[in-house]
Amino acid sequence: MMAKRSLVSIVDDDESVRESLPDLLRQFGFAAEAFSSAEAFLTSDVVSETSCLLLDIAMPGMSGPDLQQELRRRRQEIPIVFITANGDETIRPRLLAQGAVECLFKPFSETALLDALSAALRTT
Amino acid sequence: MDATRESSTEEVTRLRDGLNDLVRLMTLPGLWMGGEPPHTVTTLLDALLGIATDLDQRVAQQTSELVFASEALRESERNSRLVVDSIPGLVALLTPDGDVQFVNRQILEYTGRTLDELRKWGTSDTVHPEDLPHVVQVFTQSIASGTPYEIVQRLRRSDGVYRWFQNNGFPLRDTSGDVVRWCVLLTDVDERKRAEDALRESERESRLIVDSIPALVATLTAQGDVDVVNNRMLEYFGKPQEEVKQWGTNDIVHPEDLPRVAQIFRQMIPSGDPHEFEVRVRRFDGVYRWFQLRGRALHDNTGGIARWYVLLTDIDDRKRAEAELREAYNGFADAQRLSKTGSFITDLVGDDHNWSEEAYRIFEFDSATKVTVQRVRDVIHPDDLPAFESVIARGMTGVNVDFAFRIVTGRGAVKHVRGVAHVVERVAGRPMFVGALQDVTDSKSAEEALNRARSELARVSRVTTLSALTASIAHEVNQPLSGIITNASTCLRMLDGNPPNVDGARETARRTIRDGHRAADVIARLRALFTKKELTLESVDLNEATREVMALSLSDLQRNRVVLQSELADDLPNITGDRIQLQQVILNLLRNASDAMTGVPDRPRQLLVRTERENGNRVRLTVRDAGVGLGGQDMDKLFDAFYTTKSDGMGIGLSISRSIVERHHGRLWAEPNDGPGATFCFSVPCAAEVPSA
Repeated sequence: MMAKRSLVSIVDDDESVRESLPDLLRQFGFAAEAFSSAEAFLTSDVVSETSCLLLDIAMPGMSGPDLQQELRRRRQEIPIVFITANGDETIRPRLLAQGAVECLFKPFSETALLDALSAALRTT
Repeated sequence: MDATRESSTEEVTRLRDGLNDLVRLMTLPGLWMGGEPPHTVTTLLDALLGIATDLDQRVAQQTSELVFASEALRESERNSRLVVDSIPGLVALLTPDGDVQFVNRQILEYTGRTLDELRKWGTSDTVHPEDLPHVVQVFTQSIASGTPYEIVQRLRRSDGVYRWFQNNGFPLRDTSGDVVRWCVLLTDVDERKRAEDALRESERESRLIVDSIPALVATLTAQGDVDVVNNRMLEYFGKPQEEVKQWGTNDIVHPEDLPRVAQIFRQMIPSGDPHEFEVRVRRFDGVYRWFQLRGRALHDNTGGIARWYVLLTDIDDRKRAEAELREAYNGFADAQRLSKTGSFITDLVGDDHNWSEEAYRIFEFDSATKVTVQRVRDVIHPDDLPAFESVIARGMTGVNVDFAFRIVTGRGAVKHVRGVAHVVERVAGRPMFVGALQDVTDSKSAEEALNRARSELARVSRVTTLSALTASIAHEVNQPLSGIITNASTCLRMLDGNPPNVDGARETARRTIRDGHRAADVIARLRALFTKKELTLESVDLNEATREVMALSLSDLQRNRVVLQSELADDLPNITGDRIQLQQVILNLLRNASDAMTGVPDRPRQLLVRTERENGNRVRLTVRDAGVGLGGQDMDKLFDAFYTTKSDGMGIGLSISRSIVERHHGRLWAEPNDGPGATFCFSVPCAAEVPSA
């Protein structure tokens, strides 16, 4: 066990994701915080502590890629794993090219999630 | 004569004096013996004395006669002078050669000149210099030929003013016919001359006015014969006045009109009443034009007809316009008949109605009868009476109304009538309605066809937008599936723990079940939508596509009492895209707008559809309603699939619409209105390259 558990933040407008993912992440041994929008995350006090961001793509208001850009603008280099319910896999290469660690399509397995989180945490 | 008489008197006196001297000598004392003359001498002397006395008497008598005669003569001369001087004219006597011999006082007074001065009239300014040459010429000629003359000329008055005179000269002849004198009479005609000149000028001006009137003017005699015509009439007919007078027998009046006009004239001329009628008359170039003819008699002071004035006004253009109007009206009436649409103008409060022929025909009312609200009420289908009364009641308050009811006509036929009436103005505070009503009985089958077409469009739309649906369906299904898998993973891990976290596992299992139901719901809702998949790319006229959708939606909109207004840009370029899909978007926006106004009772349900060209070679379509508007919290979710505020909606319309628009590389968005309601717009590029699905 790590002295301080890494914080994984979740930004998703879907409530069931915000309900279920934190519990699973905690089972993995991470600390977890869920936010219903990009704006809510940006105004929280966990931005600089976040080790990895699980980020939904399509959200009302600021979208996932929008938040990615904003963080880059703020020089907050947080590894990002996109999670999307959109079945269009063609967006994945584009997101990776733009600096995402991974793009997971809902529903995803816990293995896929763990792999993505590991990759993300390695980048730091 | 006087001289002769005087000399003879002197001779008589001398003779008598000689006799007296002789008698005195003969009786001198001492001449005769005894002092006394002899008897014979005495007798002789007595005879001589007798002769002398007689001579004396004769002389005395002659003298007195002479005195008397000379006084009579003087009297006569005085009288002549008096007569000549009192003639109210200027009189002069001339010698046979024309030299002025005598002038009367008036001439002296008028001219202020002496007789000697007047004698030189031919070289002075007595006669007006402008008239002098003419006067000299006529005068000289007349003197030479011995014939009378008459000249009107100006004569200088003493104050230098020239006045007009009539100068008459005539010769006086002796028994042998020789001219012994000329008598000249000058009459002052200045006022008459000036009045005549003024009259002439006035007549000239009248003529000018009559000729300038943009109408044909003629005067007729009391018998109706053409007397005087103005120049315009001559110019118009292109005929001399003589021919104009023969209008009854030549081609001036149109042959078709001539019998009628002749008939009117036969009646008009004796009546003396003003008449007015229309007639075609021939222009110089052979073209007959319509004129309005107005005839009016001028009566003299005894009430008889002095003459007629006739005014002809060209009304050909007006007649033509009237004919065109009539034609247009007939066309309008035809259109009404064909479309079974009647129109009306109604003063509802005053119960005064003006119906078109077709309106009468629909109601099977006799068009010669008057329409009243009660008459209409009497033929309304009993089931529709409440609706009818409510329309009338609303109309009474002066608001626009639309209506749909059945009528049962006099012959028992049931008709479906639909219409609208709008307030156009208020007369004396009362609303005036203009409206249209249509017999829609026969269009029922057409309406059914329309409905079939509408459902076909909806079906086709569903089919062809399937691919657009897929993304949002997947999204909707994947969300709960994701929850299920995550929860199940968590649940397993909690149970695998040492000790197992049973409470946590139970909670996650519950969430798993809930998300499973959620996924099942989504699938259930979608089941009906999946059929087949088509996509057609073509050049689309967005205006035309919009018009079709509006036509299809019209009855729905009307049922919902929505007033549809469209502003379609003229310069809209075509776009490349899927016509049916785009129409599906438009249909969806119209339905949403209509639905949004369902609960709006207190303001007009106005729906505006507008197309316009945007910068950057794009076209935009806007649908603006006056409905409930966008609740602030709804804004983010408007375009989410399965988000709906409607109890009977799937909530996929806007989501599909947005995906369709985005597949056309366009944007679909909503914005709140300043006033009530919301506006939805989409904007697509004209030459969009739509990816094939």
